[in-house]
Amino acid sequence: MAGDLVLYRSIASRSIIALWLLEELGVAYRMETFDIAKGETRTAEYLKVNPRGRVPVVVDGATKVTESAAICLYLADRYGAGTLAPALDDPARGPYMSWIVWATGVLEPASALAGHEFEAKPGAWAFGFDTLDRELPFLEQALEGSGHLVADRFTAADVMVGAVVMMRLFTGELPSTPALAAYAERNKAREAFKRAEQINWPPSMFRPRDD
Amino acid sequence: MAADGIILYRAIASRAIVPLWMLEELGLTYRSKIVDLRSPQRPAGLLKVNPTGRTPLLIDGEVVVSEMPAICIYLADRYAYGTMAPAIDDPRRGPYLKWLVYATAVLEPARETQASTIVPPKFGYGVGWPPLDAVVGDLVGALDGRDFVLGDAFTAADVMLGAMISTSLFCEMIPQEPVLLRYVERVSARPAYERAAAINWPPSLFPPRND
Repeated sequence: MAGDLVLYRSIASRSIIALWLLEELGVAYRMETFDIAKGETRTAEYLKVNPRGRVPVVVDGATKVTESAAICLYLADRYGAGTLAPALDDPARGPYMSWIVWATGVLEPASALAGHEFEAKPGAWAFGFDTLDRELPFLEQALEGSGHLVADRFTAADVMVGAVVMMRLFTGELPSTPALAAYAERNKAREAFKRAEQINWPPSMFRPRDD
Repeated sequence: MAADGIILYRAIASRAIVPLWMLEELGLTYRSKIVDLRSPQRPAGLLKVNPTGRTPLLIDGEVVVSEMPAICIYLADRYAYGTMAPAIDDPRRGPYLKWLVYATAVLEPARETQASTIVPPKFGYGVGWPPLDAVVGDLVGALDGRDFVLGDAFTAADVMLGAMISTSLFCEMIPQEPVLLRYVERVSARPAYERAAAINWPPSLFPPRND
């Protein structure tokens, strides 16, 4: 079992994050595809992999990881320690982990909820995230300089945050500021991203747009 | 490395319960710097070094970490690797990271938006978390018949989830499920939790409730 690295994923899904990181790491992996659009993530076969029916799932030998940010943290430490994941004694490790957690704990909720009005439950805790206009400047500031989030080099934090930025710029759920647009362009030019993109959004399904 | 020791920037009665509890579990020496979240003034230099601009923030020598799950993962890997953090080749590493990330990517936004109807976008990724009852179901399923979320051993994932579940129950943001109540009773009986809670909610400001 050990050494058997499997990605369970759907076409055209958030699986792009895990796919892109696996391609960046250059590690051998197997892919099992369950198409959400065809209801395949609701089949008994898939529910054995993830009872919640969600993708992606990474199974690496005896361990199973869900949640994109956790998959990034796991894979980068396991197969890219010191390169795509800063080592434990590297000061870059702090912001590295902060950004990966921020991507799904702050950026995704803040962008998904932009424009919605909320009624807080009396006595309840305030939101754990602020509005996009207050959160995004920190991201833009971090990208100044090297264009990467931490350590002046590309890390798994750029995969996690970069993928969310690209996905939500495409759908218009994030504003296309010059800094975010440039970040997306830089990431799209990476060979590993291009390979992952072909797998996640097969050109046969998605004709290139004319714009 | 840690010439300046560990400094925790935190607000009173806040999510800082999480890093406080971690630091107390690890028996580390640290200093607190109090941030008033109601004041627009932040301590000088705080935002400059703070990757994602948020509080609580932990500084350990040259390492700066924000975002609660990231602080937990960092501290446990650095000071309790193999005990409070399962090692990278331990099959529990996957679920460990998943639950840490889940706390702020899934549980927090689900509990905080429960009173609102969020219409999914026609074209877009929308929210990445399931409805609150499914989230509570996940938690009950994970904790039913177990002492801790990974089984018999207390880990940093219990600090993160324990604090979130405890505050959610206290503020009545999730149903009073017996499995969750027993779990919170178990983890909050720990001396490290009691010390952290007394620091986060000073008894002089938060007298015990008479209910």
